Amino acid sequence: MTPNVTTGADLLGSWFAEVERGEPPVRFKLAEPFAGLDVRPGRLILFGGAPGGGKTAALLQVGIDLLRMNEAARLLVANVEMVPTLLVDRIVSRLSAVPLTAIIDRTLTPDELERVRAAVAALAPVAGRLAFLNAPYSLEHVAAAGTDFAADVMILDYIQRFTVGDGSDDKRQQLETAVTVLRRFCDAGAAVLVAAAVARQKTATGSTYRGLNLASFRGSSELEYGTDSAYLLVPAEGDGITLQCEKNRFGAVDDIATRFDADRQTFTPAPAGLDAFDAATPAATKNSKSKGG
Amino acid sequence: MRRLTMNEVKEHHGGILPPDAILRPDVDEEPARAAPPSKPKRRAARSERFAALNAFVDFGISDAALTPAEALVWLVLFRDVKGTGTARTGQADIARRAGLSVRGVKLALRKLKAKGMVQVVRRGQLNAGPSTYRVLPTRRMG
Repeated sequence: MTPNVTTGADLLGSWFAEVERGEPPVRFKLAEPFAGLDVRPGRLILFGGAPGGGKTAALLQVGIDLLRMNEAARLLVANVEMVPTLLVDRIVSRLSAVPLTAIIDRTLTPDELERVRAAVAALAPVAGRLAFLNAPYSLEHVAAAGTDFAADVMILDYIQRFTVGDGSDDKRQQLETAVTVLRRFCDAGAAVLVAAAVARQKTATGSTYRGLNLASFRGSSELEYGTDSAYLLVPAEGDGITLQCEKNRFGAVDDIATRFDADRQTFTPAPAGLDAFDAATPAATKNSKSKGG
Repeated sequence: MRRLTMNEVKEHHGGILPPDAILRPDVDEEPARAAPPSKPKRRAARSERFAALNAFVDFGISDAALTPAEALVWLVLFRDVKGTGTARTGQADIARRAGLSVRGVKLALRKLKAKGMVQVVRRGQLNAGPSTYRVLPTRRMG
């Protein structure tokens, strides 16, 4: 084998020249509550959580906001569970604030139809930079589609369901290979956002999705090691969902506290600190039934 | 991402949703998802505590005409409420933390009970420890 190395001397000059130029690297702008996510070319970011925990909604919100706020970005969405029209239902539900069920069932009131029309008009300018992967759901297909579409951001939802190669390897082996392939996407300059299933945690009384941690990603420890950032979507009080940061290779390990309106597929920042007092609505009447504790 | 009403989009943006905005319901209320039945009650504990404290400050103190000592005793008990919804704190401990005399605490507790702000769930005894209290943010008589 021919050795393939880069010497320190080669690297140092170009590295310092780049530092000296002072040009900040590309970092995609995002809106709250996900503005803190460090999404940039070369990064692999993992979202894990229980089924129905909001992974797809969170990734779609990140992806669509990213497209709308970064004029040059091109996004490929590869979702093995939902056909593109269902994903569009969800995207439009968030943009229009029309309940998802009304959109899915096509039972829109005139007011809701007007809102949907406005959402579609808002999506139109970015629609050319957005693509959805159709079957087959293999990483080879993702790579080919990503290259063909010149995507610099990819969303894969969810990684355990994608096949690699001829699919003959066992699941764990496939997942290990998949992480290697995802890293190659990153090395090629893409930002890759990945949803991952998690395993139930064993307790004395059975198994549960509570108490998730970095080791909960289902299938392979390669996921934990290979990713740059890992977030677990954990239900918080009320309608809250906390993106529990389990790993952040290039920055602070900060959780992201959100509220999730499932009806409209929308994450908003959770009130923090004293704002939580306002969020906890004071008794509306004198005969409040609230109980201490 | 700004959240605009449809009216705001029409009036200020010519009916076109700006790239840094999404729509929000015209009713200026945060839509709340009902908690799924499988969620443990503990998750709601913090906001319930805030709501209880807010109700106490907004209505409880004035409705029950609490004295400062009674309000302090109520707060100490509220602080000690556990997941069971009750607090079990000795009168001497309350006195120490609230800066009151034990006699003052006894009197305040009696008044709080009479005013429907505290219920005694289990009476304390010499060999059985302090009483167990249920703390109510607003008056509940009977």
